[in-house]
Amino acid sequence: MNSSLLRLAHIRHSYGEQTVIDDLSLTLETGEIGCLLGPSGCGKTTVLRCIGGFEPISAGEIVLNGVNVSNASVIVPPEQRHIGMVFQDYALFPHLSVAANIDFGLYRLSKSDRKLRVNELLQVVGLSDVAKKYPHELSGGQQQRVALARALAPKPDLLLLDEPFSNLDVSLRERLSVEVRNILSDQKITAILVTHDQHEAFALADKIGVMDQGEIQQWDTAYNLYHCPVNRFVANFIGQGVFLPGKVLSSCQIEIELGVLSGKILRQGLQKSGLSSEDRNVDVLLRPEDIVHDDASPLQAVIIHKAFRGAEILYTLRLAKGGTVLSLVSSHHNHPIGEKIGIKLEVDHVVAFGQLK
Amino acid sequence: MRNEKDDAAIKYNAGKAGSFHFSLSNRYRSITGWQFVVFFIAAVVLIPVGVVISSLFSPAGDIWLHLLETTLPRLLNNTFWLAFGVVAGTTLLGVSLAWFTAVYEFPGRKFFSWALLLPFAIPAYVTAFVMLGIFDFTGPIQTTLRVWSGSDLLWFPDIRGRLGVIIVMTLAFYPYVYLLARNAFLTQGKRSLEAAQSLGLNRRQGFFYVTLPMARPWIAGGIMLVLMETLADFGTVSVFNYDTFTTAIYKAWFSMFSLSAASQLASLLIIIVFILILLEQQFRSHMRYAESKRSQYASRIKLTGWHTWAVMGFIMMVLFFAFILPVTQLIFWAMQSFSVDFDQRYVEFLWHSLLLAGLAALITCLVAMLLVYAARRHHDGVTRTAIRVATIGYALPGTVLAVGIFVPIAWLDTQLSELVAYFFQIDTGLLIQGTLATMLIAYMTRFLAVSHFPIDSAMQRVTRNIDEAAMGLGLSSLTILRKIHIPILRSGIFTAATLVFVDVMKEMPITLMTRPFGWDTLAVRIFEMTSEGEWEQAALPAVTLVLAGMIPIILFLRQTEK
Repeated sequence: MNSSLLRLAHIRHSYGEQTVIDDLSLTLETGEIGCLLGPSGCGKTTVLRCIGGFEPISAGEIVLNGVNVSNASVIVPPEQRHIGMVFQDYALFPHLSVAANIDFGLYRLSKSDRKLRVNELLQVVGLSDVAKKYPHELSGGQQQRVALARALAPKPDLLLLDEPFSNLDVSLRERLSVEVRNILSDQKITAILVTHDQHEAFALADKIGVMDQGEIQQWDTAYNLYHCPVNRFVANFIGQGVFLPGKVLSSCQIEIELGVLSGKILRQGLQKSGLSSEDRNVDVLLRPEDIVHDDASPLQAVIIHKAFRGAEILYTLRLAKGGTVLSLVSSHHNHPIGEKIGIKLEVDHVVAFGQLK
Repeated sequence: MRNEKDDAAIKYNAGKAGSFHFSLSNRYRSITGWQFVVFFIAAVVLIPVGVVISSLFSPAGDIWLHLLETTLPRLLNNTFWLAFGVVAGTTLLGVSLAWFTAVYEFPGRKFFSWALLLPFAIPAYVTAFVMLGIFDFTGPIQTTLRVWSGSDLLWFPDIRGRLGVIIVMTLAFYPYVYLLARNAFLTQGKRSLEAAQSLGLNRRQGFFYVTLPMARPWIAGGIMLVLMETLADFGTVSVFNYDTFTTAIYKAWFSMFSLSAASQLASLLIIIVFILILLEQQFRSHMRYAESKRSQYASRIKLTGWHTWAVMGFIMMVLFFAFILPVTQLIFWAMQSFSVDFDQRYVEFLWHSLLLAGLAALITCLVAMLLVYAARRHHDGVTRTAIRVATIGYALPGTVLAVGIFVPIAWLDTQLSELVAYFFQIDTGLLIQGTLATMLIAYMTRFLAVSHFPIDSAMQRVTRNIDEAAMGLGLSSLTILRKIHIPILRSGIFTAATLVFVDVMKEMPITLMTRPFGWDTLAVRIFEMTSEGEWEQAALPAVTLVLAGMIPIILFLRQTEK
């Protein structure tokens, strides 16, 4: 465990009477890109600011590079942590040119080294031709890149990114997040990102922590968050899906309206919800791709809503007994609302939670 | 290029909105009634400026020679050092106080951050005479010290000198810098400081390398306002008998009865002021680039130990000398002289002040409304420039304005009375000169910007889409005005009227130089009593002005707290 670059152990942060973060822990290895994902107001930005040293913590500890930088009594100031930060509003210095902004943190280097490093970074982010311009003369995407270059310039041990793409429009956001991912892995940067946009998180991060109410609900890869959510919040927050009531038949079989699901049942979800041996009523998570359109199938469902998405159409279907499921179907299969279509189940692993009382 | 269809549509819309419209010629682009109104107002403002500047080119060699030999070098010298000292003092006080109250946390911070605006309520000339009364040779401080030490206080600095004026003006004008610098620190200081810290700078380095340079346009804007106030100031320097351009203009006018000498001096002053206006607009355009949202995280740095006491002590000292001491002394004097001074004459001064201020507020707001509506109808560069010209009067020193308005009105008066005499064989005498009309035109010119700004920013809230939404719902333009515009503009108009009202009450040089004979106001009374050294007798009118001066501050605080 000593090799990890960043370790947060049971940290707590309170703002006045209100506890914003409670008992939060996470670990990040060198070279990894972590992400805190959650709805607004869940405390994710506060965690980032605690790591940066901008906010104190009232319990627990933060260890950066083997040094205890924050605990209830000691707080190492931000400037001594060797971190870089990309702010949500970029916080570029409006009175300095692009090159001078990037140069700002390099005051420890010699003059010639500074120049080299600034030019190198201008090239990395592709802004060499606007080096002499001022922030207000740049587009949003360009400003974002300046902010990144400025933070990367002093070669920080850890880069913190606070909603770095939230001020950009959607198409630019996707392109830039791929770009930033490539830059970070080229430069072998360890980084931690905060966002409310799961696509951004999927595109950038190795490990993602889904946060709610000041706690990390699950710290995992994107694949696992989607396919093996540990609780209802994560299941609801990541991707789309519906819950259908089901009955546990055996350790690897659950019966739902559409038939009997067999396969690996994710136990952790059940345990967390406190399922007793007698209580066999559960809710089963069904993702849109679990329901496949098949004209030959005897199972029929009525289309009650459809959303055209280009390559696919997302159908909302009503089952015979009133349950609703989602199905993602190739957009060649264009059916009107009200029509009955055949469906079948294609579930690899079953995720089930105890029913809410 | 506009085509005919557009033109027709614009005419149609303008007609619908109730504006009048006429063509100068079919060949030229026509001017609408709204534009005509704006041009007319701009002309009214420009005439005094033109008159004063044109006097530079009229042959007056002997006057210049006389001025050069006698007063001019001293005036320039005095004005320069005064401006230099006041700018240095207000920058130091304003920036440091703004930094302390914007970034640090200490007991009473909230109270201090608004209390530091209180000196705005006291006209500078009031602070001036109170300070003289307290610290002068015959004042209580020196008298007491003499009694204690039993000797003449040769070491006591001469308060009447240059340093005294500079200190008094610094105490009166530092809130301009304070207010703007604080705004800059609050909106961007914290976040940029964090960015600097994430790049390895500590807080002190961050302040000097990032926050201060970033706030430069704001600080410079505040300094420009201070400079304009300093150059325009008449009351303070006359209390101190410190000769500057404004007092020289006044003396040329009243003691030498030389309108041309007054105009020559005024033309020099106006050139300096115009250079300042250009500079100020430069800074303002920089401010726009650097604008940013209020930082989301307002966690302040907690002061500890002796730092707390040092900061609090500093703030309390400024507050004491700039507000508490003068106000206490004023109240003390006013109570002493109340039984004598609170008489028929005081009521008359008060009535004159209120009447003038009320009329000026009414006229200025009406004119500002015209400008705002014209700007709404016309977005072309000419109209916008004309509006900017019309609101430039705030930078004109009152003495200059008085000279510039007197000359054309005297000319107009002569023409009018000749005309009347020619047609009706009646000798009317002077019609406009020495009437309230002259004063009101001068006030309107000087304070139009003061009323224009709040009304204009209120109007920004009525977007074009709101109008169109209302039209889409079938409301007539009169209903739109009554049900949408007036309610939204109401608070803006109220603010504008209050600001002008209080400014006119405090105004001294225009009132002195253009008032009808014997028409004394509170400010005039203060001028007359202080020029005779009768501090106590100036106290009651001064207290009245300070009370009036509190109103805009309370308004401002209520607005910013929302």
